[in-house]
Amino acid sequence: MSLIILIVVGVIVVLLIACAIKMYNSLIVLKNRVENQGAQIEVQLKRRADLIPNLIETTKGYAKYEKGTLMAVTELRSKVLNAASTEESYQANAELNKEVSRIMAVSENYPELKANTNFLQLQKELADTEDKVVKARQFYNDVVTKYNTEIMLFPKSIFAGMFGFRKVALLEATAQERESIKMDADTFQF
Amino acid sequence: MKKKKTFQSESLHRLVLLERLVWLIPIGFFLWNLWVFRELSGRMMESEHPVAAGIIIVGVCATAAFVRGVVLFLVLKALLYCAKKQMIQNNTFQTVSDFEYYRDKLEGLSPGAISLISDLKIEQKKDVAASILKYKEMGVLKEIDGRYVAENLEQAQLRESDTYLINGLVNNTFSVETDGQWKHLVEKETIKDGYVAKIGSWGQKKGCSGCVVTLLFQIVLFVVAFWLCFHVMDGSSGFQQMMDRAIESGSDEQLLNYICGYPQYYPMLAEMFFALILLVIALFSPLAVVAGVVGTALNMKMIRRTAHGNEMAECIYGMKNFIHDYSNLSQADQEQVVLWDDYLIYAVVLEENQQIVAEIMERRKKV
Repeated sequence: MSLIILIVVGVIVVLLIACAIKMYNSLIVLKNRVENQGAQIEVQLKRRADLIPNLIETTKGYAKYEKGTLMAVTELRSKVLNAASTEESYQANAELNKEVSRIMAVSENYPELKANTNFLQLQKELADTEDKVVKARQFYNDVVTKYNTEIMLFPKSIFAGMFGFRKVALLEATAQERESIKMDADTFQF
Repeated sequence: MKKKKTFQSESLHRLVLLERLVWLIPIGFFLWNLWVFRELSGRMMESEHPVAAGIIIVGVCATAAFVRGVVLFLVLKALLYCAKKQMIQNNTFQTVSDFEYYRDKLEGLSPGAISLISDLKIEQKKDVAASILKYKEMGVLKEIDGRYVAENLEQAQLRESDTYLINGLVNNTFSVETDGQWKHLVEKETIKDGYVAKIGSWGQKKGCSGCVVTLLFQIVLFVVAFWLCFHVMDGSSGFQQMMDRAIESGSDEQLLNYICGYPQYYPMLAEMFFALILLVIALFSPLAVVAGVVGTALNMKMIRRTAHGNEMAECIYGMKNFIHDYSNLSQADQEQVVLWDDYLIYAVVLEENQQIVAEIMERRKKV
């Protein structure tokens, strides 16, 4: 009788271990996907930041900017490139966006610049990359939601807690993104 | 290293499931027979040879099940198996770079073309739903009071198939179930773009190796079955006499009752039943071949992917994986096309989002 009980207990333990391994592996897969998608955002942000020096180089022959604008753009670009995390990089990019928008707005007043092929190409590339950043963020938030849901569902929540799987924050809209960009008259020097 | 990948489409899943369900035919008959003969089986199992008795019971039940359901089972099994095999062949492509995910937009591909490249087939419902979504995103189609209205058609770069579908939707002349012209136009455009090409003749498809294998299989079964029969009959004259009388029995139950009286012949009977099953399979296998040929022909496509189409199929496969693993687009609704643009269209055409197809088709019905 005791042998049968022992076998039953043994089978249950083996089943539990198999379940735990399966759950652990599925959580690892999801966690890796979150990290992978985070890296994809950074790739796009860095690609966008790399376009900025070309943009400044192309536009400065035509338009004049406040010294502060150019300095801010350079500083923010290096912040994007050297960010330690996806979130940090994303925040810096939001600020950089604001400054780039100002540069673009200035170009509206220079017909010669607007006709420059190089500038038009850069403008298109910036827009494309920005679109990719937006999409990458959407996918990041989706995969984070999947991961967060998985680690919160019972019984995975027990194993997730045991193995140290923590909730990951979503990339929400920054304060800069929320407020509409106000055109600062001081930015332009005609 | 190049390897092959297969699109796991919904129709393929359905076919696989149906093929598995066919096993319920013989299993059902077998279980029913076991239930009918339960009392007799109990008596037989109490004899000196319980193993042989068990084989006879199983043999009788299996033979009866086979005789009753063999035609239906073999025909359906062969039909669905060959259809599945052909569909897998249609959905399979050769990889070039062997990447798991593709994240960029599939530029220049219409929903119909994506569908055709992935499984060489246009499934009107989902492909039309995806196209409608695409036109809405492009701003050329609007839904006002349950009716479709076209706008800005001149500015948009539309192809012949797009114009045909939009006109059909606006004038309410397009029928998802019966209209073959749109399918034809999409196929023509995809061939023109170089993603797929027409196959010259049926001869370019693989030969009838399956028929030869089945014929050989049938011959082997006949030889084994007859050898078993002669081996058993030659062994004992008493068994022959018992069998002659057994054949005169009216029903399966009477036959079993009669056999119960001769436990010494159980081992020989077991051999006989095995031979009988082999004979039944051998007799009906040509029917299975015919059904198999029909199943293959029904799913055979007269187009194939070109090298360019193969490359694109890999991107589409990567996109399907990406949408499946990295997004919740399966739960997105039509209005979210503003947010997700092309990705939601891909989700619809790649069967990752079924609810939008159902929703659009439901609205079409109301119109």
